[in-house]
Amino acid sequence: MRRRILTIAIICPVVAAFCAATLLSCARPTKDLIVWSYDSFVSEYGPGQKLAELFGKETGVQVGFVSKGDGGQLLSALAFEADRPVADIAIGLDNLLLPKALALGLFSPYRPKGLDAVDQVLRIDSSNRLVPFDYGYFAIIYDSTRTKELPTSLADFTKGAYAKQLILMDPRTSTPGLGFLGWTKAVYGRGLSAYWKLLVPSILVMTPGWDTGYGLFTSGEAPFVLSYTTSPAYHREVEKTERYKVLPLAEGNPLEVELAGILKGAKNRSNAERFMDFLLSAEAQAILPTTQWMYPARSDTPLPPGFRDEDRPVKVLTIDAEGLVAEAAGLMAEIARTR
Amino acid sequence: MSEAVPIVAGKPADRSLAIAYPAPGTYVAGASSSFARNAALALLPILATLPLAALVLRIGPGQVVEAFGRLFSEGRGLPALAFGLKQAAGSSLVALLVGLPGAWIFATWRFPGRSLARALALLPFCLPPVLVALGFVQYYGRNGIVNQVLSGFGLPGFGAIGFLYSLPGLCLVHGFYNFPLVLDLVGSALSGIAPTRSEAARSLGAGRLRAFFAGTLPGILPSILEAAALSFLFSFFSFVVVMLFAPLGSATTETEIWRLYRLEGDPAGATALALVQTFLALMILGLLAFGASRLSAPSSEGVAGRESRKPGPIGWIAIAGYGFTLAVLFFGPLLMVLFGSLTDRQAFGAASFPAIGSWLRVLGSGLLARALVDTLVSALPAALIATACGFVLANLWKGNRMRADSLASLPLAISGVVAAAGWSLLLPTAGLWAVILVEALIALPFSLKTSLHALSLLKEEGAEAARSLGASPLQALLRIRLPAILPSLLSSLAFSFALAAGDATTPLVLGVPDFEPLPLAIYRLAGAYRFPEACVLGVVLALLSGFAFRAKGWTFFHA
Repeated sequence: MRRRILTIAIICPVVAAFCAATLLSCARPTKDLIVWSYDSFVSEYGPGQKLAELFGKETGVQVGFVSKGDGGQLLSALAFEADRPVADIAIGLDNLLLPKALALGLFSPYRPKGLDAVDQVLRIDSSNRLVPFDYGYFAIIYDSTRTKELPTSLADFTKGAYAKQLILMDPRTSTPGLGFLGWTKAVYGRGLSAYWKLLVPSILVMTPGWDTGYGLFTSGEAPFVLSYTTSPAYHREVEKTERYKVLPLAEGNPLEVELAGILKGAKNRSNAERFMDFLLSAEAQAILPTTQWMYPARSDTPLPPGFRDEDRPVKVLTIDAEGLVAEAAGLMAEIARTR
Repeated sequence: MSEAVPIVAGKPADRSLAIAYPAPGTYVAGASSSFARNAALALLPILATLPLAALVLRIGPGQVVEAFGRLFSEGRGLPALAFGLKQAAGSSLVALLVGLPGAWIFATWRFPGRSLARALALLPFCLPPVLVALGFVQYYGRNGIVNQVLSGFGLPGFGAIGFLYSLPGLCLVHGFYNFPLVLDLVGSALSGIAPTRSEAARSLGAGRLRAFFAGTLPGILPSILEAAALSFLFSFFSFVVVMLFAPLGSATTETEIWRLYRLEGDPAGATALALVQTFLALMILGLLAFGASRLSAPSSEGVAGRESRKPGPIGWIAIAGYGFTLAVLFFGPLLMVLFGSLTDRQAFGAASFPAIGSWLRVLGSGLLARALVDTLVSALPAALIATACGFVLANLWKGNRMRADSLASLPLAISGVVAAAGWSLLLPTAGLWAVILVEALIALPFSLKTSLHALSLLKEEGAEAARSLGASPLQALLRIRLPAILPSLLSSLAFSFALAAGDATTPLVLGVPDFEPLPLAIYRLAGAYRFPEACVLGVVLALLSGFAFRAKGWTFFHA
């Protein structure tokens, strides 16, 4: 008897799960527009759902967002589907991935209506195959309760006082990590490798992704972390704390521009064009600051009070993305050898 | 260490009466022809290598060969291979060092909390690595608990000597991930071998030590090798833990594959390296399987295994010592996830602890309920499919246990990065069922091994008697063999469920719209500054998997 009850107790939920799974996969409505993006864009806290709702209300077009992992995985997936695209639009490539994306010839030009309200500096693809929708600056964030001695330049970080004080991300696996390498390249040029040799003792760890690195930082593992100038805005807006601040650096900070574009051979071309117009509309742009924690591309978008001008860099640097990935591999191999 | 399991349930003696048995071995499971058996035998390798094959075909074999030459002539392949092998070997060693004493203790004595400790030990397998890694850092890190306690006593902390972020630190974390495998496999082998051999040796005048080497050791060596092989594979293919704790700049094959695929846009290179990695892993697996078969002790089937007994004073000291070591070294980091969930960073002004704000937010937004439903809806069917397939395949293959065991290990020897890429290539517009099937395939090696083991312990007399009484093969399967190995099927169901419930990669790369099971939600929360909320979902996931393990005290491979 006990065995029978046990068997029933196990079979019932499993059968129920089977039915539910089948129902759920059948009940999904068809979409009039497929957008591929990276994971945090489509997540609960990202802008995807809100954009889809707003766009659906305005146009009646049902948008389906599909996550393809992170930005790099998104590009790899797009490359595989190049000759028979499933998606109409890709959102979330950035200036670091731009050369590769353009070389693959995946996108077709379209100039969205709102593009005139976007600063010229952000329009990094003059052919408009990929257009900016938000941007930010890579930055070092510090924990004001754990350190008083602040470096004022990248060069300062090589001092002995900062031994094991800095959390970075691995340039071989993470976008901010690669951005930091581009940052040092923009500042030091040929002296890059010499600078890194001096910097290594100050690095506590290079994490595989931003999430782990920032998690270590907020657990108090080290007082400095690589992130974005907009990170303190999150802490102010959501956590109501001034504890985490942007470290102002004399050399300036590099720009990251996030891009969207219509794919060649998109099946729903006219819907895709309407969505691109929508993405650069004032109301869509207003969703981005507190979902992406980046600056919206349109300069006329009002920002919440947590975003402060004092966080912006004293000088904006441009990263030369060409060949950067190969340099990351070479540099990391060199670091591994010299240790 | 496994609970006493009735080897043939359902009172077969009552049914068999006293009719002569057919010659042993004439019984064949199901109505399988040898063709069906061979086809089934080919199924798992084909399914397991499908994503890899899809990548090779899509890229073009020529390109892959060319990429192979390029990687190794540039000197990038070899250092990654060397470091990967080194850290995996070190990690297996740590797992053995931590696991073997435990296996002995668990098999020798019966004590309260035994199955709870075992269920807890399996938890890291079901939690997303980002949470486990953060737990380790908050415990062993520079600002971690251990360091604070040690410096409170005026001692140099772990963090001060940069312990965690080094090769030994990496091996420690991997060792903690894997020692439950040793505990379970070796423990179950220890309790399965008959004490008669070592007793015989002792009665012939051998000392305790010699009796151990002559009697006990040969019986458990194969299981030690198997546990070492699995820990080795796990560490060799590990990603997040390696990236976080390995010394700066070092690379393993898995991290190189990720970089080639993800950043360099070089899928040919990634695939070439994945092929080398798989080849190497299979070589090592094959060597260990060969070793295990050569070392196998004479079968002690049919002899009652060792009875675990009530501990005496020495037993209690050993149990307490081991339990304390485990609690301090291993469960401490896991406890950090619980503490993390009780931290509220959104309380006005400053972070507060203990607080339930993070729990309330996750509950209130409906995120928890949705994630829980998505987890159950995908992991339960996946677990059932994996268990059913494992049982059927095990019945078809049990004639050649060694071959079946190595085939079952094959999917473990394929790069997770490449498998994910291959599946997303094969299923560009995947739905929920794709996630279920891929997760079932991930759990299949474990369910297959469990069923194989259970069947090897099964006595055939009951089924043969039923057959001789005119039962069809199907009836014999359903009425006699199935009930007999039901406990191990339930155990396999529990572990498959926990594996599928904790898998973030498959839902992440297949990108099913509006589908966010717990591990994916955890990944997304951690990627959106919300670590306490990620910890809340981590605790729920741990409870869910822990519940599956705890029910009836099911163990990992063996019931």
